This record gives sequence, structure tokens and C-alpha cells, in this order.
Amino acid sequence: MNWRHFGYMLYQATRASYLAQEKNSSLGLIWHLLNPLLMTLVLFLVFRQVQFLQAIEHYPLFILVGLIHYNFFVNATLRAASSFLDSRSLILNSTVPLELLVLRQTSIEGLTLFIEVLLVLVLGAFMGVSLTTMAWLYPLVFLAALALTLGASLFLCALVVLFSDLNYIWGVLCRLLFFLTPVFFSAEIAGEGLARWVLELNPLTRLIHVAREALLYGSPVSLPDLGLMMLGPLLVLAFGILVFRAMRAKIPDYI
Amino acid sequence: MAIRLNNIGKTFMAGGRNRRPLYRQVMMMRSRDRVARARVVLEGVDLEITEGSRVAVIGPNGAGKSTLLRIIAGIYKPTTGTVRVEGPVCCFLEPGAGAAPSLPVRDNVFLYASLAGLGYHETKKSLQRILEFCSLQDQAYTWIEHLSFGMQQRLFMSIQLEVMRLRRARVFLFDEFLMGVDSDFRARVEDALTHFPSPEQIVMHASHDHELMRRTCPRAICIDHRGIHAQGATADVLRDYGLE
Repeated sequence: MNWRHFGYMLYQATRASYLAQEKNSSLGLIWHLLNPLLMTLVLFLVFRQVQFLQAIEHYPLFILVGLIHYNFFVNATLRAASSFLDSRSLILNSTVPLELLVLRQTSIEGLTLFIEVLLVLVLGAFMGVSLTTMAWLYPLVFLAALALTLGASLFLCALVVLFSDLNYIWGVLCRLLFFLTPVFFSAEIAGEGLARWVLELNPLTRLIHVAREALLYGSPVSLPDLGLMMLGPLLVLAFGILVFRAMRAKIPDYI
Repeated sequence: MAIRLNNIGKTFMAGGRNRRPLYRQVMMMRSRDRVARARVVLEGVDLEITEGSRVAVIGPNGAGKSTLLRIIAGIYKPTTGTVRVEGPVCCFLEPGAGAAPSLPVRDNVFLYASLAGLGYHETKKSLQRILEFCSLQDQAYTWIEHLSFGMQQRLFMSIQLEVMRLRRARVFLFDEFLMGVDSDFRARVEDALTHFPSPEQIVMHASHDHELMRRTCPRAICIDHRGIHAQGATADVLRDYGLE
């Protein structure tokens, strides 16, 4: 595998998908920014009266940071889940690497996340958030989010070709995941019971926590916390690669 | 030997697709008649192709021509036997697979050429030549979906021929690639297929256009449902099996 050419193919495939997606949109990229902004507004208006949420500093930005990372994971995995079925003709008639089709979806959503993070920084500047040296941690959060999403995407797209209704099941699970991810609340409100354990087992929980510290609050993040943030996504990535490699040769037979 | 197939077999589940809803997949895994439902497409195929060969793959519909090409390309893993192919393969059995219909011709040339193995600078240098070959030099900014089927076929075929001319792949596999194109372009492709390939490159194409096969491929293999029933000079294979 020539990695340089693979990178170029990925660039061309991502660019083509992105341009094709934006072709019929008059506002283009702005739609991607409006979606989390409107959702943040709704969540803020609904939950701002709740007493234990009122104590959260910069609550609208708190929601926005959680939401863009949750959206990245969900949108990229949902797109990846159907990517092989949507590209059946390409898979059966060319030698294009299957990994490219998965990475293309992650790249498109990764680009959107990058732009949304810039939006958070701009809004933060208007709302009086001052960045600290902890902001340098954010690239690590971005990499962890990519690893988590790519791992889950590889797992899903390999199994969806075998079990055709898995993408519908994943859609339902993603809705449940919204309430198991601290998007509009902090993990601390769950106390020390079972709910807290469920939240802690969700790799997005720690990832969003570090993202908030890096982009909004600037409190120091301990090394064990950083290690745990990376551990979950890396385990998911390793598991996704294992499942994908085991299924890879069978995928053209099944689609 | 650049391509060597040894006792190749390929089996699919009955009905073609193996994908099914979750409960049916689980039931199938438990099913004892899994073997009985298998559909054998190729069986016991032995084939050796030397460097510089131009091979026609002929046979009736459903004989396994495309499956054989997909096994050589590495798309399908054979159920039995071994495959050895030396060198990179350029294979777009369906011209236009992977293209972006809602983008202009120029963007699609870069996209499709990258998937076929060409880098940015090579494609930039070859862009004009590709567009001239398919007579689309005035349509560089027309969306692909606004071109006729034949024009799209011409464009994608031209990109593959450029990959061949630049020696960026060793094995080229085609499947009914001249459907819908006019006689002028067909003559140009035939000429290119005669002159472009180097002595190391191998060209295999599956088609029902026996005249084209006869003109462009000195050698042919005939597949009939399960395996290779004949191989040799194209005219002999066509005559012996009543395909003329």
C-alpha cells in the first residue's frame, strides 16, 4: 500500500463527497453550524431553569461543546454504517480499498467538527471565555474522537453487510446514547451509583469532559484522566480494526 | 507467469446475495441445508496468463466471466484454490463506478484517476489528453449527470487508457466496456488497445462483442457456467463453441 497515494485518494474522495453534498445547498457550510446552534438554543431554553444546571458556567457553550462531539460520533458512524451498501457498485467493480470508503465518511464529519470547534472559539471570545494553556490539549481530544469514531465505523460497516438491519438498530442506539452522554448535563450529577458507572463506561463522557476543560474552563487535566480519555477510543479502534480485518474478504460476497 | 489461477472455485449462497436480516442470518447459520443452498459459479479453474497477453473472456450470461475477473482483481476471495497476480491491477468493471455525477467532468477526472492509481501531477499533465481522447475538451465544467451515457462511458474509458499508457498498472480488466459508445470512439479504443499496452502489461476483457474480441485479443478463454471449457486462439475458440 502506497500511503501517500492513499492519502491523495482520500482527499479526492472526501472532496468529491463534500462538494456533492453541498451542491444543492444555498447556505452550504452554514447549515452545519446552524444545526448545533439551534439545538443548543433549544436545550438551553429547556434546561436553564433546572437548579443543578444553573451552576454551570457558560452553560450554552457547555452544551455546544458536548453536542458537536456527540453529533460527530453519531453522524459519522451512521453514514459509515450504510457506506458499503451505498457503494456496492464501486466495491464489486474496482480495486478501491474498502478502508477508503469508511475513512471518507469520518473525514467529512471530522471537517465539520473542526469548523464547529472554530465556532465555539469565536462564540467563546464573545462570551468572555479566555483560553489557557490547556487549550493545547484539544488536538489530543480531536485525535481521540477520530479514533473512537473510526473504530465504531469499521465495526459497524463490516457487520451491516452481514446483518442488514444493524444500521436501523444503530440508529435507535444512537438516540439512547444522547441521554447516556453528558451533553446538557455534567457527569457529576449522576452521583456514585449505577448511572455514574454507565456514564463513565461511555468513552464520549471523558472525551467531552477534557474538550470542555481545553476549550472553556482551562482547569488542569491530570495525566491519568488523559490516559483514560485515550484508552477507550484506542480500545474501540483496535476492536473495530480486528472485526473489519476478519470480515474484509467476505464483504464483497455479502453486499 | 504473471497470472496463475490454481483450482479456483467460487460459491455463493442461493439467490446471489448472502446479506439478509438479522433473524434470517442467524437461522441460516443454524441451518443444516446451508451446503444445499450454495450456488457454484466457478469450479476447478486453472489458468495461466503470461506477460503481454491480450485475453478475451467469452461465454453465455451467468457463466462466471465477471466473477473470474473479480477473483483476478482480488475483489472476491475464491472459495477454493489459489490466485497469484504479479503487479498492480487496474480494474473498473463498470465504467463510472465511484464517480460523482453531480460534479463537473474536470473534478471527476481527478477523482477517477486517483482511484485508478494516478497522482495529482500526473493527472494534471494528462487532463488535456484525456479530454481530447474522449472529445470532451469543451465540456470540462459540465456536470457528469448532464452528459449522455455514451459520453460518460467515453470519459471513464479514456482515463483507464491513460493509466495504461502511463504504465501505472500491469493488469487491466474490462467488462463490456464499449457499451453505448459511437463507432468513432470504438475505433480509437481499439487502436489504443493495440498500441498502448507495453510488452509487460496484460489486458483481459469479458464481452459478448465477438468481433471486437477477435480484433483486439489474439487469445481467448471460454467459460461455460462452471469452469473454463476451452482456451486458445480467439477465432478457434469462437468457432469451436458456436459463438460466431
